[in-house]
Amino acid sequence: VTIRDALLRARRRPRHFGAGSPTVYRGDGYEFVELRAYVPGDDVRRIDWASTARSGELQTRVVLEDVTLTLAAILDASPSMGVGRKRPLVTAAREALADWFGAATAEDRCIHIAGGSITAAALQRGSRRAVALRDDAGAFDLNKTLRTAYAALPRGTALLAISDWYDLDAGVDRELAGLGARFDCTALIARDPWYEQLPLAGIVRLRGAEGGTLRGYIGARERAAYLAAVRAREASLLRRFEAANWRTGLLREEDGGASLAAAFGLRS
Amino acid sequence: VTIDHPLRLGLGVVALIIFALLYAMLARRATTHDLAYSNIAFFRDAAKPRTWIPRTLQGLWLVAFAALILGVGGPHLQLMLPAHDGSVFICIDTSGSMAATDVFPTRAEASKAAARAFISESPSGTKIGIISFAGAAGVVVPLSADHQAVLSGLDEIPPPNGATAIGDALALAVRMLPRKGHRVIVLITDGVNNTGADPMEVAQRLGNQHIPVYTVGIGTENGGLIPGTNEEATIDEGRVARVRTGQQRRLRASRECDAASRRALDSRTNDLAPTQTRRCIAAVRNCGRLGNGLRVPGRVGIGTLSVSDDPIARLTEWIEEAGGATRIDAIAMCLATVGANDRPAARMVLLRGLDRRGLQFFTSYESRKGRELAENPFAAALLYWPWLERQVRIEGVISMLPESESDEYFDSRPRGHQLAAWASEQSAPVESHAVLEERFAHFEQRFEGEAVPRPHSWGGYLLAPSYFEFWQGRPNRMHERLEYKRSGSDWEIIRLQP
Repeated sequence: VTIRDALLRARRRPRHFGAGSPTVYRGDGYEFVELRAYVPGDDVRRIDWASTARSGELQTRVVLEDVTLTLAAILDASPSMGVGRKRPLVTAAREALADWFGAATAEDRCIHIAGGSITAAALQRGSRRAVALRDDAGAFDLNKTLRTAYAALPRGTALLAISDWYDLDAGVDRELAGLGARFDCTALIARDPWYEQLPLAGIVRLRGAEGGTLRGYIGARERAAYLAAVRAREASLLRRFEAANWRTGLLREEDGGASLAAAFGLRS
Repeated sequence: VTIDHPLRLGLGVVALIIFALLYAMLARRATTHDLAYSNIAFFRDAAKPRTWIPRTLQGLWLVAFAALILGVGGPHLQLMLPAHDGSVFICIDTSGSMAATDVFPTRAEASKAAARAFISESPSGTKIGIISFAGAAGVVVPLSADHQAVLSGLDEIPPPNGATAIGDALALAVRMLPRKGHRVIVLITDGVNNTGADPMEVAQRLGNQHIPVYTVGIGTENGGLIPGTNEEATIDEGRVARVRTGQQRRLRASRECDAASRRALDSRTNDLAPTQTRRCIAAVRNCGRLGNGLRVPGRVGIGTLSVSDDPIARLTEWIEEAGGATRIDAIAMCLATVGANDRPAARMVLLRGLDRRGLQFFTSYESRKGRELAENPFAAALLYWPWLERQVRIEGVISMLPESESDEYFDSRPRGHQLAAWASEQSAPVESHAVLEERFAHFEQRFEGEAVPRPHSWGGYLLAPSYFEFWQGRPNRMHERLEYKRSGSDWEIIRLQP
């Protein structure tokens, strides 16, 4: 089972037919699956006359449905994603993105959305080069990108958005719900690198990835408060996305691919 | 507070300011060495780190640095603390010139009185010794904290005779003083050094050892005759001044020395001017004559009171010993009267005459005391000489002096006083001082070019004593009191317990 299969099997399966890649669904396509006895209602064009002659009973050729998926992705590559314990979160995010676009088969379309621009990601099946996307040099504006996606993507698109979601405005929930209704949306929430524990004590100086510094004393009280706040924030984000009918997952710093797979309930 | 190294301090302050500014600038700028976090605002809200702790530490650090810089500047505060463990040698000149009488009674006696005052005012614990010197110097009393012993040692100072060896005396004092602690030499002399070591050399040596010498000159500018000879003693003020300024001279000479040692010496000598030494100077100034016109008392508190049967003679003697009729505080007398209302009232008057009849003073008959004496002639008088520890109580009846005596005394007064007697109705209210001035001017005009006659409301009183009590202060409050009560023409004498 692949991510593509999972997308197809999802309840939010896009109503998008036509020549494309065979799906896991039996339907109208080219990829042969099996022969079985004719059931009334089967398309007569699918009757395999040769095997019917051999067996003396009507045999139907079952083929897989051909579906073209549109895989779109939003990658937050802003400096806030550049932090991490051992490696930057954005590296894991790129892994996840590679797997995402790597799930596309020949006829699927891949779209990378960054800010106001939409880039058709050049795709080569099985190649991770697909994600060697040029990140927009400018500041990443999450809310603007979401609006762009809503306006520009075709209905039924599978949309993956990877971010730490710090910039998600409180009033954007309606737009999220709109996206959730229109597309098969998946949100990967970058997990705070210090989610397990805050490895700081005493007087520390912090540098904000997106500016600002902080100098203060971190004690047991501060560590506890921090953990509670981090957990609360993550839970709140999960709740918001689920309320907006999004598939959610956590982007872990160690392995982006596994994180994406976990979001789809798969083992990588 | 003085700063030893203002330059260092200034540089330090500049460095501190530059450093603080640099630090503030650098602290503002995040470096890649700082731990990065995705969203500082979130972290601040989440963890709420205590930012006042590093700020306080920074502040403390700044304060410490500032204190360090201040310390580099070398501030020091000079505190004058009374030293009770000091050692003082009093060097008293007993050369022949000290017998001169230009200071009452003689320079030698005045020196002793000054020394006595100094010793009795010194705080207990101060060790005092006495050296007398003439042609040679000798220790009269070695250093001792027993001031009574030192006081009695004063009486053993030999009478004035011989040459003056100031240098030898100073050298002897240095030998006798301990090697450490507050050491002071008080030199009482008329300054005519004519034998022995050069005092200036010794003074220089004292300067090296940080022993201040306080010199007290005894004698008048005009000099005085030495009794029994035709010699005339003078005071070598120049020499006295030179010895006194020995310290400063040394300091001036050492200007070539490096600044630090000079400063150390300077502060040292300042510290070494203990309170009692200043008291000494004050006491000596009060008793000895230093050009302020005061007479020096003679024998002070010597011997036991003999029972003399003539209180008037004794009173005369005491007044003389307190300074005589020309010294105001020798003849200042407190007069207490009681008027018709049976309430006593007291005031000071000057005792202007003393004879067999009694004590005389002059005032306006219309003053309050005049009125009260008219109502009740009984009065009490008190004379007190604290520097002699003596007091005399007198009680008796007061009568007016004959007009001739009042006239005689009035004529002897300065013209201004005479006019004032006219201008003032003593003890009557007056609107303003200007009115008095006006009246004074009026009488001045009125009596212009002629002698001022005595106003009839002004004259003398005579206190005919019927009671005396002589009080002589003694150590340990073992005072002596002699009571004289008139019985007929004689006096009944009773010795009272203190």
